[in-house]
Amino acid sequence: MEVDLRRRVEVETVHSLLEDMDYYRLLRLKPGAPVMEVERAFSDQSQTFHPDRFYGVRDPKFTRMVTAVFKKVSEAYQVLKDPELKRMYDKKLGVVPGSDSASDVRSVNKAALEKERDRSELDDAVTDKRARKYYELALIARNNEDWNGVVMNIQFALNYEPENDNLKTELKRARGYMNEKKKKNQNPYKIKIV
Amino acid sequence: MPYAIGIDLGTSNSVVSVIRDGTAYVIPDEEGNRTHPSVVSFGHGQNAIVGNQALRQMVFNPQGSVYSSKRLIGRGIDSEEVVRARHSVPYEIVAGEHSDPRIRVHDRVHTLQEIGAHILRYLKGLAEAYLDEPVQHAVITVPAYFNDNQRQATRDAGQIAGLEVLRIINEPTAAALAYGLGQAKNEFVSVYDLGGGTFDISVLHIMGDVFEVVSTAGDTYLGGDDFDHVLMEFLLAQLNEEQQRQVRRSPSSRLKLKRAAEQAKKDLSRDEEATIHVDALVRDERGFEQPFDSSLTRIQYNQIVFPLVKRTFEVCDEALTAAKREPGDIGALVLVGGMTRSPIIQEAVENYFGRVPELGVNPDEVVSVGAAIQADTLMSSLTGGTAGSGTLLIDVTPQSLGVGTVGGFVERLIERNSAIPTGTEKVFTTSVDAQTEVKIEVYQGESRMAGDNEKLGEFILEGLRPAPRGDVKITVYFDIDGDGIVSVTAEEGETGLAASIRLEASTGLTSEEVEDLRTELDFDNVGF
Repeated sequence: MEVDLRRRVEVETVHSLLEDMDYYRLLRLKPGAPVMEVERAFSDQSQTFHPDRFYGVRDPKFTRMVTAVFKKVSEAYQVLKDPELKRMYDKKLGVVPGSDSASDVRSVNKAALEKERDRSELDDAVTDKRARKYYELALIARNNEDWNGVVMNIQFALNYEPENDNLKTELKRARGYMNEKKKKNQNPYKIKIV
Repeated sequence: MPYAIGIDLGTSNSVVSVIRDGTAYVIPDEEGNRTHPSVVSFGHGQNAIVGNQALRQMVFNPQGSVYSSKRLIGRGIDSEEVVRARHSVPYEIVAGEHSDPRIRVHDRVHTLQEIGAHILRYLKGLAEAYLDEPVQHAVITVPAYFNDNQRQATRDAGQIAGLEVLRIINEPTAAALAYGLGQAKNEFVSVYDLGGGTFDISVLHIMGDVFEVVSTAGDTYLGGDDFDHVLMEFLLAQLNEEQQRQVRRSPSSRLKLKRAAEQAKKDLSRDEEATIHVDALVRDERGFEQPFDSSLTRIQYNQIVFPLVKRTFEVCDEALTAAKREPGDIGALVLVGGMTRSPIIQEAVENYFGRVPELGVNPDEVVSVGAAIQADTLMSSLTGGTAGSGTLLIDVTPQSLGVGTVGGFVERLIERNSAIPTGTEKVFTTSVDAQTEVKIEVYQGESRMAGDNEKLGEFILEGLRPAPRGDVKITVYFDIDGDGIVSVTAEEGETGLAASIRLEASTGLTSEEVEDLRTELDFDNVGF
């Protein structure tokens, strides 16, 4: 199947601008547009950019381009339809309704927003301010696989919130890993995630 | 344009449909049956019989007749479902080389993909006979909760059967598609699917062309068979103790009584009363064969099966709670499965949801018709006929995808309900000096704890350049294609070299194995 020239140009243009477009531009919405407009916009853009619209095209390079564009359109939709992610995104973009959106869109993406949200979820696990401080240290230790550090800091946090079940579970788990680590020597398969 | 068929590959029964000149046709077998039992019966010469004929063979050849194979496909040998089946099915289940269950019949071991292929090949043959031309393309449906392994295994079964699988789609999505739901509307749809052996309820959110499976719940051991079973027990209780023992001891008598119960159930969806007659069911004290005669009213029947009906609504409650919806939020109700033709079910479902279900498509056939519609749309695009038009179906990932991190956690990479195709990338780095391999465990599921998710497999990145720890950075790309199937590729950051990836601990067949089976079974040279 041959792709109609107009549609080919459309896909190629959006693909070349993909990295520089914020989620609103990608969905052809005004910056800060309300959630209710997002669904409609996603549906419209999918009509143009869903790979099934080019199912029979035997041009791998073009197919890759369409798929990349759709993935990004879908990512934009995932963020903008979720009120919390959208609020965070709008704040990062510095969106004021009616104005143009900020230019630094590369560092503000779905993965970064989710990480931040998950992080605040973790923070919600502890309410006391001093306990949270120690819990944060425990999380850092956990990332470094320093189980002694995790156990120690959670124990400190528990001093301030002795009834916190989250902390108790984490403590039990960390003790488990600490013992496991003692047993095993160096595990060649440890992965650290950047 | 060549025809493309839609296949509902069911646990108990399968259905195949095709769109011809804009109309959906459900394809019958030579006896006129429109549903085909998902039974494969192997003779001693290993020739396979499928469908209604195979169902009849079951009485004479229980060890050689494979049924309910959909419960096993794509699962691990140690999974709960497989362990359960090992205790309850007459055919023999053995462990395969990928820790997958396989079925041994008369000394030949069959993968589940082959069993599926026999059924698919049979359906393909029916379509070819009906259309009088070769058929190569198909859309196959799977339950919404099917994970990557199960979807991949289903697609492989299609390939072994000599089909080009255009797309794997979710059963509830297909059902909604058959009724043309969505379109310009934005609504929640419930799909109530009571089949032969399983019950599923799904809540879909349809926005135009986007079909989101918001929640799905089910009972994999609740279906028409259970209705037959309680009815059979009710009939059995009418015999004296000695005769009950006779029936329980004889598989063929049990089957005869079960068939009679099934027939009574069907009669009662039309009539107020059913008469039951079974020839030579038991022997009297002198050893003479005696028939069994009884009758049953619809009111009696309703009382007998009420606990089962009630159970389906407990599962509906679960699904609605998970979707954060009330029955009143549901804009359309779709019934799937032969059991939903029964008046007691229809009434109860209408009561529960407070609305009349969509009507017009046979509930046995609705999933297959939806699959045929999608097959037709994709085929049009494929052949350039009406490229870029028709219903666009945007499906979503059934479960979140993540990788295992230290300490038994899962880092989520692709969230559940992301529109597919989708993908993401992740940078991994070595943590030990001169490390040449990195192991990545891939999980599907919603828990943050690795152990609570389904492990899809382990990928081992090998042949990394020996360097101080942290120096080697590998970008791993996780992609989910339009069928919901996951693929993983990797690239070393600096050199741009593709790192080689070895998949382990997955129950799937390799592409070579699939190709070998396809050649071995030589389905391509059967029929057309």
